[in-house]
Amino acid sequence: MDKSTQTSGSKDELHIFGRPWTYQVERLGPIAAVIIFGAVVGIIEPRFLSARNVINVLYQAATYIILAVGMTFVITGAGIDISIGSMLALTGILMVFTIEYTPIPPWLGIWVAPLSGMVLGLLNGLFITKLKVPDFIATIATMIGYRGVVLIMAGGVVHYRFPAAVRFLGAYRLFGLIPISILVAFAIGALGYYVYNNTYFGRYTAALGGNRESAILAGIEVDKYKILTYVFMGFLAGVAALVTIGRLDAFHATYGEFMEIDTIAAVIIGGTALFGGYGRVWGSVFGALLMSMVVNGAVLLGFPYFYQYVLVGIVILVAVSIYTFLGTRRTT
Amino acid sequence: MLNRKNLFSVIAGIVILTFIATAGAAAVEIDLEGIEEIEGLYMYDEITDMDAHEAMRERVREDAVPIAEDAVPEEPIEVAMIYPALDLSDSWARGYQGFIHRMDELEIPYDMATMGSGHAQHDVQRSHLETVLVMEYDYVIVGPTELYVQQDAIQEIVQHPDIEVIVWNYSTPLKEWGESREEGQPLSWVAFDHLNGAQMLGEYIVENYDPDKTAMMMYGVPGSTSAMRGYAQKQIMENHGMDVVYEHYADWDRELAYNATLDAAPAYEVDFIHSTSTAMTSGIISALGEVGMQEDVVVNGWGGGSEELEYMTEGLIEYTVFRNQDDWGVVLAEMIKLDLEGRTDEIPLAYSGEMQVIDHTMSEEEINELLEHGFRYSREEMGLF
Amino acid sequence: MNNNDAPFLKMKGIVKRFGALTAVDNVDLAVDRGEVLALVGENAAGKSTLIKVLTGVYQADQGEIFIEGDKVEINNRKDSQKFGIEAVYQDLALVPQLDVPGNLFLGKEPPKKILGGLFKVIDNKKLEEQTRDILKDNLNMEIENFNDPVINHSGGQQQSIAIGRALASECDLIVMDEPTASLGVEEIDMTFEIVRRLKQNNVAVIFISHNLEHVFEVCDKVLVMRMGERVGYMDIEDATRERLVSLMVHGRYEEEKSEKSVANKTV
Repeated sequence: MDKSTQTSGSKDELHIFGRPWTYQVERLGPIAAVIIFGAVVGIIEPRFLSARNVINVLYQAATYIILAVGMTFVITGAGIDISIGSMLALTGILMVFTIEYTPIPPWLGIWVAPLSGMVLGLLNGLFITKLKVPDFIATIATMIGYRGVVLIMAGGVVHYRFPAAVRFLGAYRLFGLIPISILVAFAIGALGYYVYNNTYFGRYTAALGGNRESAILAGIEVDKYKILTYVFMGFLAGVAALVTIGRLDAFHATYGEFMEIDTIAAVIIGGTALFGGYGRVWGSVFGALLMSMVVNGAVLLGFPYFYQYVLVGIVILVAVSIYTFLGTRRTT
Repeated sequence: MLNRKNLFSVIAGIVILTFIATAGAAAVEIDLEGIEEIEGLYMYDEITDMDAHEAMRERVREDAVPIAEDAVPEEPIEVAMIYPALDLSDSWARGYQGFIHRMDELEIPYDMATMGSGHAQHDVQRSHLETVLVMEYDYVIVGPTELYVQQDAIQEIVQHPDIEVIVWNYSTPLKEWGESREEGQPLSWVAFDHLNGAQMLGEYIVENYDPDKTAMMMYGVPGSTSAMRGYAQKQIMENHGMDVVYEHYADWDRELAYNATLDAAPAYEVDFIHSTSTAMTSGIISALGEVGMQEDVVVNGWGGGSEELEYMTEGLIEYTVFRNQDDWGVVLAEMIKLDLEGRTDEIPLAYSGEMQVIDHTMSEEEINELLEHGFRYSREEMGLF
Repeated sequence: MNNNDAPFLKMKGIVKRFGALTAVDNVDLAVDRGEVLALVGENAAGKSTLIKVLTGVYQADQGEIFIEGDKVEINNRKDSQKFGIEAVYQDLALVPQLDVPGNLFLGKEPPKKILGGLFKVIDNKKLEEQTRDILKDNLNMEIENFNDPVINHSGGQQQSIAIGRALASECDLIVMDEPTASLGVEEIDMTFEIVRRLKQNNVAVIFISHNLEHVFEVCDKVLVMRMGERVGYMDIEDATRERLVSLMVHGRYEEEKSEKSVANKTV
């Protein structure tokens, strides 16, 4: 029987800290990009690393980090959520109306945003699993539908000047320095990482995104976990609404438009596979941070506005090229 | 209630100078109280020294007089411009061209940073405002999509001792910031006053059309600009006795306006479609052509861009409010010059660029004359049409 | 268990139709613990359909299934799992992005409670221990880097992992669908070792294969199917290559006139 004893591991590959080097590059790539980009721009334009600017970048990144963590789960489950911007706006206006027009105290009223987000996400999930509408189509439909409700409710009126409870998450700083929103964003990143690796929800989301048939054969209720990814996404869209509204201390019906593009870009830059099965929560966090840094850095370095778009496009292409290269190595 | 009498006489003066027959123009009232989107704003003529305003218009009209030698800054001044560059209209771009060319003619050395965003990217606009505080530019020109969303961030820049702010695309100072620069107002507010434009178009309609007509309103994105250009207009038309039977928001977008017109114009058999931007006007015209209603429906333009003037010569639109597009960039340069020369007092607190209602009776020659002046700087880069 | 002599699994008179097509036509099958039954036949002979009836993916139109002598209903995958039936599919049905423990125990991860029992999460430490146990004890293999996604592992290892996954659920019967297809020589040997081990551990095995050499290598009995029908059933000692090929292709073997009666007697 000795001849059957197999001791060779995965294909002969250089391993670093017990994992293939390709994995390590994937895992550490986004954070390395953040550090390198920050250092390079900081050397050229020292004000890039000034406290005020760093805080500005973190404020700007927080919303996208929160959204990107949710989107990581959705994409890992082989889904996509185009409606997040509209969910952000709808959960936002629901919260604003609750606080402005009901006697519910603000500290309680803010919970309307994440809770209503869960309901909107649940609807997305039900349309996709029960009505069998493809994820992309279903969430395009709700993107339009949810936005319609926002416009009906808010019209063109800007709501502004909210109580402290609303502003707390988006605008306050710990010790007058570190934005609460970025702490919350990183906490959500850490929570997302834990959930991805340690919970049944995380494991089964990856399984159903990686090989749906296999997940079904293993007795996993794939629809339930698919729905849960959208509920989680909706919840985080509500949190992102709180952060955005708190930061701007205002609400307008166009909030969140096109945020899905930047969020999906951040997730892709972070190394999550677009077709499911393989999520990188921390990658998404740093991907979102990198996107904000690139836009801000381009402004500080005096890039004309339209070139900033080109720059972000290049970042996405470079990131995806690297992952594709590593992925090709892995499967050959 | 606001007293509008002063404004009306000014407008009446301008209108009379235009090429249209405006004999006996009646003043039309706009009730701002009813429009929630624009609460808490001064109309420019309420707060501005109108002599300074008129003097500034004169300066803008005339050729550039270079900055006084002793006022030339040793280092180039740093100017930042924050505006929703992805807006489809070319008016921002013409304003930009007007600004940089005038700065050169005024011989003011400067460096320029442009910070654009989409019209819905309020968070990016906020981030740009923060960046201004990091970079401490000397002059900041801010054109937010929604003033109320960004007002606190703009106020922080206004209060910065070394940064001068000009709010762009709004000529309606926030009452909250006081009545003067000392009390918290920025260097100036500059726009082609949307309400003023609506007022002028309203007067044209009241003069030229009978009340027993039906109208459809085509607004942009819901918000203050739609309110000023559209809701105010609707009030005037309804007060005149017209019946507004359908209202649509087409997000300043050609396609969306086209689709809405295709559906609504035949269904409601409207006599008027009131557009609030050039792009939407062009969509409306295409749709009317498709349903064979071009002859029956009166369509207007908003802004008087080259595209609109072309339509007018083809008889596709009846009238528009023409803005000297380059002027709203030119006036920024002139204000910076005065400030550098220490003549800040001469800068009007709010400034509305020159506009006039023009209509289909205009000859091509007259139109060209208008364009040559209105686009005198931007034509080099962008042409007349 | 009401009959100690009954084989672990007996399928009797199974019929499965898809519209006008009869994919499985009155087939009997039996396999006992510690026994390896080969299921052979050409493509579309009905092997996969029969197996899917067994695992509850399809429901038979006619026929009965007995587990240890008791008649049972298998209407879905959960039912078959309940009776200790596991299948290792041709496409392995692994999740390529998950690591070895993730695949081995997919759907059966050991839980642990956190925050004072408020939430139930996966006990990853225990999961890895159990994985090591299964790999060592049942498959006699050590996989380094088992936290790499399984797609990083070789085809033979993936095969072992797929079998290990069936074992992880402590099953009594494993159906192996073309386990040796697309494997290298060394990896095929490894698979044979695993099958022998399963046999030693008193597990019943149904071994579906195109490759008759592999059948002769590990199987105890052979059941031949052709066009939905059972055309042969014999001990491996009675089978020859020529005989099996003839049965697979023609449905009969000249020197074997009384094929069906022999089979019927055995069941």
